[in-house]
Amino acid sequence: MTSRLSVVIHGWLGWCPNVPAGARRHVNLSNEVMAISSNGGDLPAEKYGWLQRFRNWILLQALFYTAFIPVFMPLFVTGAYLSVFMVGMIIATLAFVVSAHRLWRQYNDVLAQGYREESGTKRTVILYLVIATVSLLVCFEILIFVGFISGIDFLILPALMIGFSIIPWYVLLLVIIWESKTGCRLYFDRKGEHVSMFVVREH
Amino acid sequence: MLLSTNDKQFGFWAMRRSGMPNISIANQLGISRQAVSRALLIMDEKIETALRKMANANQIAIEKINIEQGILLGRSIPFQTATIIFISGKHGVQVWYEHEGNCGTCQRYTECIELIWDYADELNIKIKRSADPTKMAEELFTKVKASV
Repeated sequence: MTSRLSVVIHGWLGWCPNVPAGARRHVNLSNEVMAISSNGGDLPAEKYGWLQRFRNWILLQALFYTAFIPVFMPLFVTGAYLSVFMVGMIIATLAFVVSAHRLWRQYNDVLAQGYREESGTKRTVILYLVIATVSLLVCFEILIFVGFISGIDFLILPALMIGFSIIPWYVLLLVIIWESKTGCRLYFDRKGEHVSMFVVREH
Repeated sequence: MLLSTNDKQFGFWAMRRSGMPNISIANQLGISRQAVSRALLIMDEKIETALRKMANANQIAIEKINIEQGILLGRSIPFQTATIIFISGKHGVQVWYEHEGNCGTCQRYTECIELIWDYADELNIKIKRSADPTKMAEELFTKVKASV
């Protein structure tokens, strides 16, 4: 009976290159989510874990960057460093305000499409930009330290940069607001060069 | 582009897919059998990479791959439906989902019909020519899946 039914249902189906109309665009984590097998053979079934929840990932990043504050803070107790640290936080806040709209739109894109993929090339470019910036800052610090650049305190730059550790907290707040507003949860998945973001509806 | 179907190597691969043995390909093109084997090994790698990358990009869980046929069967995770990725010499890498498309209102009706006919010709598979591409595809892919 069951096989007869499946034959009948199969008879209604066809194939189409378009995305199925009314397809379930939201991955339901209560079902087994099939992972892309690396060998193309047997499929391991696995659920997306705690770390693949986007806001958890952001929380870890926020905690990581914030961990630098207690390390450096004893050095920043004087008014000058504290002011620079505050300036760093203000710059970071302004930078976040400028990019918050774009981030919000990205999450909405994920909601509209079910998932969003970031290409490996884009991520590589961003990685290289970050590496280049960090390298420049390190070089700058070394030049100050060895005395090639005078008139700037060695600890000014770290004090400024640590002010930027506020950014992941802002992003975390944004994700939490977005999730509570839409009733969806954001997940991400990393497979080789590709990073994909998924949306899961709250039950 | 994931895969260039204009390459000479792709031509060898397409000839093998149509059932031609390596020695016949070598004889027809006037090259050594070793050269054909080497080219096919490289092409197999390219085909596999193209299929896997396409599956990855479209969030498709892989169930079966047939490199010699250039076919990947899987399941779309976001759309929760059976999916086929195949390689056509004329149309490149294609992703199709199992569901009844609304062909009557689709702007790509003609392209779909042509694609199915061309792909069936490439595989030497005979299908009934109807006005409904989604049904023709069903017939074609049932036969294709049987060969994977």
